[in-house]
Amino acid sequence: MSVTNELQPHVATIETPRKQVPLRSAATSFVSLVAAVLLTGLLIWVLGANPVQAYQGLLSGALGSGYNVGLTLTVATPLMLTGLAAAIPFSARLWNVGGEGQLYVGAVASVLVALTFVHLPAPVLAALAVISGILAGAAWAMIAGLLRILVDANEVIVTLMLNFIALDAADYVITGPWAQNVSPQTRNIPKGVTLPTIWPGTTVNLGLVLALLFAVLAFVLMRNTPLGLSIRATGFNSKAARLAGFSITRITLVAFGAAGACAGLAGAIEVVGVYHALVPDLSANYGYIGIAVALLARLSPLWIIPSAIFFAAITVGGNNLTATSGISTSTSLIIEAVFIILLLAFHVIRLQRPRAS
Amino acid sequence: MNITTVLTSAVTLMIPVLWASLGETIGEEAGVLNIGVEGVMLSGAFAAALGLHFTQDLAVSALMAIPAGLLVGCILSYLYVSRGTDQIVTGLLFNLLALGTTSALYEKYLTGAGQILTFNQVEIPVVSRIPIIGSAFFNQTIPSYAAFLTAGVVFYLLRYTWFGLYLRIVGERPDAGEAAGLDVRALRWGAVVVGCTLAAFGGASLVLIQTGGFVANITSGQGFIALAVVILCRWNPLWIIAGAGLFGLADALQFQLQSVSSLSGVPHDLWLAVPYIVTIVAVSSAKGSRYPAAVGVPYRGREAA
Repeated sequence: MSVTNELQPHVATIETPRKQVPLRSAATSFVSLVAAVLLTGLLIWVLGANPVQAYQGLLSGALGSGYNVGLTLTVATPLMLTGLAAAIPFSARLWNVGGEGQLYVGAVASVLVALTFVHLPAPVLAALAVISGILAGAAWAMIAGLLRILVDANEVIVTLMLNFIALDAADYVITGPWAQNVSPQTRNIPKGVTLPTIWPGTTVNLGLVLALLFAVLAFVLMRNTPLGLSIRATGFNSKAARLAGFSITRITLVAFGAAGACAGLAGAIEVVGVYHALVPDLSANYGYIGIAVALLARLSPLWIIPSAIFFAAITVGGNNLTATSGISTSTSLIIEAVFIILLLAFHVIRLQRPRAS
Repeated sequence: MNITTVLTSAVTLMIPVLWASLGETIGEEAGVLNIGVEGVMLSGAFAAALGLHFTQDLAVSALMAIPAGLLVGCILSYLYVSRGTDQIVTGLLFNLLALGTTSALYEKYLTGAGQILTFNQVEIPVVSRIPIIGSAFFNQTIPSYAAFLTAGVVFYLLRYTWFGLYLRIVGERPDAGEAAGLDVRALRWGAVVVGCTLAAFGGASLVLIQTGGFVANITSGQGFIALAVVILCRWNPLWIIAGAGLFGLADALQFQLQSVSSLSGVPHDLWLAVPYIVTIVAVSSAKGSRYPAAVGVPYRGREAA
């Protein structure tokens, strides 16, 4: 075997252990959620707030009114897409942990396009900005894919580093020639260049439809096309997949390209549909939470939809905690991380090594 | 631009990364890729700031990194080694957990904590008068000297002691190690806990020699830089001094180069991106930058392997 700098292969397909019946897995998931809630409750208590009250605040923040449900769906939109950005490559056991950077590159591309071609009709420009976000995200992710194919560079390290380069690029765009000079952000994109609101009175915009569409497309791609089969086959056993004649090069490029397109779309939606500018902290760790979304959904594109809504509810509800209980909005991040870590520790979510070849 | 000023600030800026890279090396040599090192640094930084807030004693605050490192080290060892969870996703989620926890605790206990206190420089006589580099390297703080000393100790430990040899066996061929009578899980536990403690010192030194206080997400990716430095320097603690120095230099230069007229057109964000670009180039030149064979693979006993 040639000497490479790749990590030992993992299988990113998630399997329930053979003896584990679905019911038990569901029960363990429930226990994990309860444990996460209790552990975080303990921390809320340490922070000097009443845990019951805090959780009530969290629930009402996420689902208390039509407007709040709308906020949850607005946050679920990028999380579905970053969830897909993790799930598709993970299915071929390619470790794309660069969703955060791909999201920012998509946001940068869409804001630059929207600020440059201002003479175009608004709907055309909006579409163009979104498409350029998708393409830029895909191109950014493919850097990792190409390096993996050409020189066998470890994609975990490469995608992590690309995250920080993307953040630096976004910072340059925010502070550079496109700066607004009043608050730290770029100039606003032209009025009317936006994604239309699809639920009047809330923030839910066309981006949600696009995200749902991408999830369905990913589902069809993975389940019903030869390409999807080859991606999943590579995940189960890459040696067998190669022997069966699948092109690892093509699979790697497609998996990273599709992942980057999803994350890039998330960034474009945030710019065009939500903020109408590139702002610092555009993504509240959406790229990383997307990994949790994908794991909870067991990498299944359709399950990513409820999984993203679940994480979005915790995130949005958490924003309510300062007002209702006087504790940090970061508490939501704790619940999310503890929950998934417990699922990993209880082996409800397993990322297994391939069978010995 | 004054070379001595740049070098002095480069040495100060490299210290947290140096600590974290040394800790990460120990874990990786034993076969555990701890992507949670960012979160470990954050925990160490918070512990030090907490110590500073309640005692105003720099030495006590620095030592607060030990319980913090041991605590998170035990949590991570339990997950990585005992439970055999996937190291990449577990580490990333741990980073989110540490970010959330330290931010929440900071907002509750440390916001507006006015006392800003950092270690004073201690000049080493004679050598500190070497032109240009003397005052940069030999007029530093105690945590900085300790970091350089630790690099030497870790080098010796990994290359010249049974402990280092055993670690590298379980990092390369855990099944062979177990057949030879080594306790793979115990060695990995030890490596992760020691590694986390060093990384926690990295976070603590960020607070105690640079900022004098905590803010949310104070590490801002320095743990990931450490991951890069380790692979860039091929698990050699002495090279890691140079690798961390490269990062410190890039960081120091991006402040200084803005005042150089011929380079003023180059955005400072480009300088900030240099260490990440260098890392990508380094992992792309595969020769010699191979991870220990068993890195990232949970050990489930010989039968399962």
